[in-house]
Amino acid sequence: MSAEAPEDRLEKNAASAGRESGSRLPALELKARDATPLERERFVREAAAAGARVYRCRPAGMQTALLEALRGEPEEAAVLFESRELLQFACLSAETHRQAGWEIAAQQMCGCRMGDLRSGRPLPTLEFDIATVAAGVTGADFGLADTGTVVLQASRQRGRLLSLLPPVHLVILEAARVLPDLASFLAHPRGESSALTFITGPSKTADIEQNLAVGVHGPGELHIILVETAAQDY
Amino acid sequence: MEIFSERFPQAARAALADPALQQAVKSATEGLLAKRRQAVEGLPEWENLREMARAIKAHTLANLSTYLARYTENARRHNARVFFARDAAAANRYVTELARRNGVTLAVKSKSMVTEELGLNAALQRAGVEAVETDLGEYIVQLAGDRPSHIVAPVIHKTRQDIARLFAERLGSDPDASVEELTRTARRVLREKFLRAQMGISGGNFAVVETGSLVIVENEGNARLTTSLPRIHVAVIGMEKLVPRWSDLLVFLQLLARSATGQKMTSYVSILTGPKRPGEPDGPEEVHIVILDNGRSVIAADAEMRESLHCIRCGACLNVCPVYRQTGGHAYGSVYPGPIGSVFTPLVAGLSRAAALPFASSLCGACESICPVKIPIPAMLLRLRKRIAQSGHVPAAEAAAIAVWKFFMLGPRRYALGGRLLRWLHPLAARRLGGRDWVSGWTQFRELPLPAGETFHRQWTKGRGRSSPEKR
Repeated sequence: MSAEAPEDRLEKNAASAGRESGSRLPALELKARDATPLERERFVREAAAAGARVYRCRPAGMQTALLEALRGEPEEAAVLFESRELLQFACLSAETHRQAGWEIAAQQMCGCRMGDLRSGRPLPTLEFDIATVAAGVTGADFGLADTGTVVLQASRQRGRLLSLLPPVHLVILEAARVLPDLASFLAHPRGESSALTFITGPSKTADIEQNLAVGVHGPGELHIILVETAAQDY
Repeated sequence: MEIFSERFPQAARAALADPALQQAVKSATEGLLAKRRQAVEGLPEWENLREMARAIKAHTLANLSTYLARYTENARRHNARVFFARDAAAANRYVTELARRNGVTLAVKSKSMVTEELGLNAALQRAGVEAVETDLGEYIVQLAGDRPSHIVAPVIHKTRQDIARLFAERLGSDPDASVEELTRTARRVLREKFLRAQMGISGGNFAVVETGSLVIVENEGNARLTTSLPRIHVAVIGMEKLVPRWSDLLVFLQLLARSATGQKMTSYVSILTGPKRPGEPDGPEEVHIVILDNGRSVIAADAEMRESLHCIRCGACLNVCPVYRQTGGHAYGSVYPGPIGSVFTPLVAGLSRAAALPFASSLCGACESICPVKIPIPAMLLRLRKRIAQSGHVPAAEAAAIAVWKFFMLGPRRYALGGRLLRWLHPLAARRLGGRDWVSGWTQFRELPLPAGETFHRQWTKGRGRSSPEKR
């Protein structure tokens, strides 16, 4: 190896390479589009192909979809929501949200037992730990139709771990947030966040004899509840 | 870089004599190729993307010092700490010092070829830090005290039974465990490590200059855990990983997943920009980005070899290479096996230590055709062969044979003399030497051709004026 400093070598490199043709940065213009209804259908298909289970509903049907997705969980299993707001949103048809027991701040992560969810009287509590709950429920910032991907951006309300540590991850995604493709996402103005995570299907590995196994480190089950929230629903 | 590439011919022979290995490598590479083909066929703009990727990489490497400075500035703006490591020793020193200062006793690692290149695990171990590989394949390799044999699928050389026995011995699981059970065991053991580790060490697939971000592409979720759970995240990347623009990800993310595993999108792609922001509930408090040179600036300044730094480590050239498919990855004796490894290893480790590798190719060109960033690997192998010959790293017998050949090729008289000698000596030589060791590399699969009884020249002279030289 020469005694020349790396910076000098790189400078020399720049000088020599600059003379060669083809070292211009090619133009790459991205256009953000909204997804067509057909592309939303595609999101559902592609997410399923990647191993996610997708449920489509109106806001009123959300709780039914939630219970359907978690139907295998025992009564005492703990389900953790990224915020009380989301718990309330997901259990819109439950009467309980009008009752007492919601002293928890809207943005605070909280959970409830499966049994309470089933009885339609979810009582949110702060006692659960992400590392031990049966399922984590988060929202998502975007969906990408052509790959069936959900995009989660870390924020004050949305950590990185709730979608990662529990064996089951349930995403509640508003259909209006489905973009046609990666280009539309990359063209979108991006917020300041320490972590953007693209999730496509469950955690998987094919390291042993090319056999697919799910849930190796992240969630083995990914459920996506796609909510059609037309303006008149509010 | 610790390498064993001088022994390629012997190691390749041993691999060829191992039918289990042959079968394992064959089915793994064919499986990966079939999935890739399907994924690529679904993307009509594939060729366009390859050309874009090539042009972006060429531009970035031609302006590397500018982009490195800009990346550093942007990453620091988001409170990541950036360190330039001139060589492996400097990088290892930085990471071990950081661990020592913070009282780190356990570090979790997600898959990173560049830390293999550094020998970082051994350095951490010497510093009293337990470093645990968490990618399932890499974990198996580490438990077995083995080496990865493929840059994407590290344990394609092992069967399920091998792994079940290994886990039974080391982790007390069922010796007949299924793939699902083995995966569950690894999850349980490694989850406990993740929750205890004070440091997470990752590589990185791309570093976006414009935003100061680091992009990690994976399927298992271990890289997410590595970069989210421990208090300190250290990313080690080669200096060639930069891409200038956020929008360039459109090109590279589409190319990488399809080329590596035939997926449109891997399970997880993480775009990380600095440590957790105020108010974010989780994420590392410190992020360190170690940018490694280790010979790369020399390669970048070498116009003939610069393109080897375009590589995005997808492994497609390994899967398609007729040599790799016969020998597997271990025979190459390098962290980087296969066609691109045969170019990159001698450049990083030195020609004399890996002189056999540029010859471990039939120059069929399959690697160049499949490469998502269009690296002209065969041409580069030829240039390396030339350099190796010029620097004298050629076996004595071969050098002698070429010297003799050269002597007889330098003039028409010598050539005629050579031809006569050959016609005398050759039948004798073919009989006497045919089975001998030093020519058996040639004669094992081909016959030594016998020279014609009469040269064309002589026939021409004798038959001058006749229309048909056959009528003798």
